[in-house]
Amino acid sequence: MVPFADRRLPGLVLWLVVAAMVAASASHVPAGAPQSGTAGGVRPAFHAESDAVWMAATVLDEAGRLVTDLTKDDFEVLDNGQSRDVSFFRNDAVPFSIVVMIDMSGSMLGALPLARRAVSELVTTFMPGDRANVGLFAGIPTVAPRFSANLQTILGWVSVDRIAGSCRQWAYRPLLPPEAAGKGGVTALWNAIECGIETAAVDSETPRRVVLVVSDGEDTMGLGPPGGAPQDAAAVLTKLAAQYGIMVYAIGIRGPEPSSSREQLAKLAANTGGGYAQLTNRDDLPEMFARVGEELRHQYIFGFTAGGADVSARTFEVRVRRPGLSTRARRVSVHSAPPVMVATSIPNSPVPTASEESVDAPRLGDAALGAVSFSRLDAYERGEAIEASGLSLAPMDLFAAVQGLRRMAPAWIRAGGTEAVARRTLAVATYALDLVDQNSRVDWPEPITPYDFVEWACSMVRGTPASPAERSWQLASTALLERVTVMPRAGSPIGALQPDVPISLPAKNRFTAHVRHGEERYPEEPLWGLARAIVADALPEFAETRAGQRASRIKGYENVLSRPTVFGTDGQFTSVSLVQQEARVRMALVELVFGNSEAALRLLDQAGTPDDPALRYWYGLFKGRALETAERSADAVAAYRIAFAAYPYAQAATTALGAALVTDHQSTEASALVSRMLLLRPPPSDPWFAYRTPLYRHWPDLRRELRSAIKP
Amino acid sequence: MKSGHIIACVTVLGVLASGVSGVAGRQNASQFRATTDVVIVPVSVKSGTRVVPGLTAVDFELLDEGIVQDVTLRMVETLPIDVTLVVDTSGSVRGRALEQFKGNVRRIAETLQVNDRLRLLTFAANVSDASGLQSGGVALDVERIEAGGATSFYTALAAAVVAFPLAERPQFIFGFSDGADNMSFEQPGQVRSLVLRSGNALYLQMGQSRSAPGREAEKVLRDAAERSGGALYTGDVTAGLPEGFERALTDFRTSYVLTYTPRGVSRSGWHNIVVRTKERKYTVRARSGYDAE
Repeated sequence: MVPFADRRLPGLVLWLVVAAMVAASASHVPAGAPQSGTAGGVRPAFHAESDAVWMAATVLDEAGRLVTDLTKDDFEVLDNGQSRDVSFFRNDAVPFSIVVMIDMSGSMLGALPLARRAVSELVTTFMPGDRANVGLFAGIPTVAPRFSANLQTILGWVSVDRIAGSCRQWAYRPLLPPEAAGKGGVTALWNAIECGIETAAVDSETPRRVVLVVSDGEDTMGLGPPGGAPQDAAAVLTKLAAQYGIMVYAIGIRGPEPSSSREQLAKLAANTGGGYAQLTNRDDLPEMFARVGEELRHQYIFGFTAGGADVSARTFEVRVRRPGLSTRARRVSVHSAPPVMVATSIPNSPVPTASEESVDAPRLGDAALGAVSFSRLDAYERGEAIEASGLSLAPMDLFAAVQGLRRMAPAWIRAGGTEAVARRTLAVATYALDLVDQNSRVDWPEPITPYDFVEWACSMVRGTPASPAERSWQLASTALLERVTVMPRAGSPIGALQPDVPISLPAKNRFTAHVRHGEERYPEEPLWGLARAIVADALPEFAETRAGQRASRIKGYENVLSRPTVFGTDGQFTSVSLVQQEARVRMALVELVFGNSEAALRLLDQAGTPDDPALRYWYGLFKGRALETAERSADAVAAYRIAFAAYPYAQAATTALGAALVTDHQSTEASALVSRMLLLRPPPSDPWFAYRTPLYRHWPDLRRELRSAIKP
Repeated sequence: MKSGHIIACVTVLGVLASGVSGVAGRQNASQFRATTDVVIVPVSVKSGTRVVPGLTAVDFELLDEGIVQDVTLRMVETLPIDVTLVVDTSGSVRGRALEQFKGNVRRIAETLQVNDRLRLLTFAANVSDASGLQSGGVALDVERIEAGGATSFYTALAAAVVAFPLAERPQFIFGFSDGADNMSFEQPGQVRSLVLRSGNALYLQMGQSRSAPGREAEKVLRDAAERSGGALYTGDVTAGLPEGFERALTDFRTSYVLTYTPRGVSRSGWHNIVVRTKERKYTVRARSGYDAE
């Protein structure tokens, strides 16, 4: 097979084909890069903290031909110059998704039929799991709303109608000033590539993602990519592509004369592990597309463990031990094993239309879809305890399960008939929550995240009529995401007395956005405000002064308390007065932390003794501590006894009670209580450990409600 | 005087006089409550960082509620002791570190004399009495110990002090943690307050704190340890666990125990006591008082 970079291909002038060294990506979005998802998709998060690295490499011989018969031992992987053991290696077909961005400016308009043929050549090389999206650009780039493996669907996107704007949903976003929109003759090359990268980035189905851009090689807008000048295009776009592990291939058409844009394109392709070719004869375009497909088909995939620090700040290099061979390599964006599941397209609407189903039907059986199958969803719907078979998954299986559910859900929902759509949608969304719950303390394989997955499920249930069951789903998902947001993945809750957690603004913002969805659907439910307040308290905004820190932590609770208590309570999960009681108890701890024991006592007195056992436990703990601070040891003992009674022998309350008894000259009882506590196996559950994720205590009840609601 | 107090008094004096250990596990039955009959006060006397040896009762002055008391004195090294090991089994000591940790605990148990007694408390998010009270020198069964979870170091220390108050023999608590506390409701200030009341000597071996709250906690715990007659060591905590314990044990054995029957102070409740040497250049560490129930 002749590779993309073959110098012998008639009519080709090769500018740059080999980039052996790969500079690993920066871990943040460059200034000016967009922050939101596109085309109805959801932008995946980037986990820079993982130490597992995956790379894709193309190997060429001296003649520029693909070398496809190498084994693991033929390679050496260097991490900042240090050799690493390759823990995973494959040279068979690993699925990829590709965004083809085709220049349709004035100079290229006549090439549309050729472009369709080229795309057709590319798609015919597809193996199961490969998918494509197509974008067209001149002044403003547009992209299709989704990925597909279906040739007719894809060819339908290579249409001049799109330039005329007849498909309104395809508008990408106004990257350019309005006056540029009508300039059919201009080429906004860098914005188009940025659009392609962003589109590839939102595809979470495949581990390898590629942008292939075809242009006459000149950016005539002179705007440069977002966040950079035209002369910085390669650097800015390299950074963006590296963030998602995306390879960029570029094909220039016409004129061999060098230009600044072409140099930038070649540099970008080299930096991202892709390739750049210049065609002097545009008729070679179909063959070139086919060769891109073949090259992607014959890449080697490596997995290894990087040494220690953040992989985003490291340089990785792949070398071939055999003489005369060279590599082009790229770090890809998964740190679990690349999945082999088939994925064709993700419908953006919760329940796709029949025409979409016929275009993008599954091509393999359930076995290829990880832990999810029709029969499994049927069993789940019937209320069977499928959790017993183990939903806590290894990263690769989790990836497959998440993507499998997303893939399969629309067809399974439709299979139940029109009347069952809302109920089955709720079933799928609840199943998604179970997956999140069971896997809330493990690293999710990039690019999927619990937030994206829950948002996907949320978008489905929001497409159904509002109902008490759906409100429970919104509350349950909020409880789960609160846990995901506040609790470090590999550890346990940090003691609320010493909030010393690195603030995770993206996570906090994702959580807040999700709460907003629930609030928009069920504005009368008072728990949303408390949910926001809890996360704001756990992950407070930075403040230089102690007064500022205190204000940052209690602001949310004050908002809860400012809500009128006469607000109606019919049909709500909880009442305003109960939420306000909880807000006061939690606010009291903040006051204690900041040395305001009198204020804490006032709040606790206003709250009154709660009925909710966990809340009563916290109430007793905080009141006891406030009274100890006020040197009222007998009263402190009485308060701690409230907590002890709510959860007998829970360790935080028992130890605090014991210590207060010692101060109150009752050492004998103190010793007896704590000695017994130390001997209990297993230790009784302790709500103090759950203090930072308090909504999660509602999860069992909410889940029970949901499981009941989804039964036929 | 209540009859129970007389029994406690006799038991304590008998043990102190004979230097013979009680049977392991009997601590609760013969537990010494600081009654108004006999009070036991472990004392550490140092010149700089060096222990001052060879002192006698006449070198000390002890005031109970401001009243000078007649004291008798023993060296700890002549007495059987109780040791409470409070060790970290949180997520940071999984895998090889856990195996090393188990070996270290066994070595520590073997370091003690047969008359001594040892109790092992393990903690992660929760704290557990993993061994009960065992005779020194025996092989502790540590195989079932598992690691994982968060770290409640302060709660574990507080629980150790509250559950096992000073009994009929000198007791020291050796606390070990290689990570920052991230779960305790109890805080270092509470631990310090309890330790200073208890009469137990507190020795701690901890990892170096990096965060500001961690450094502040370390400062308070160091104060608690030193004021109890113990010490706080930082550094390579896992590898140096047996060495740290041995250093603490050696330090503790060279301290003194004062006992006295309070005179001129009749009231129950908390008694402030002050211990000093007549040679004022020494640093004297002793409990701040006792509770007469």
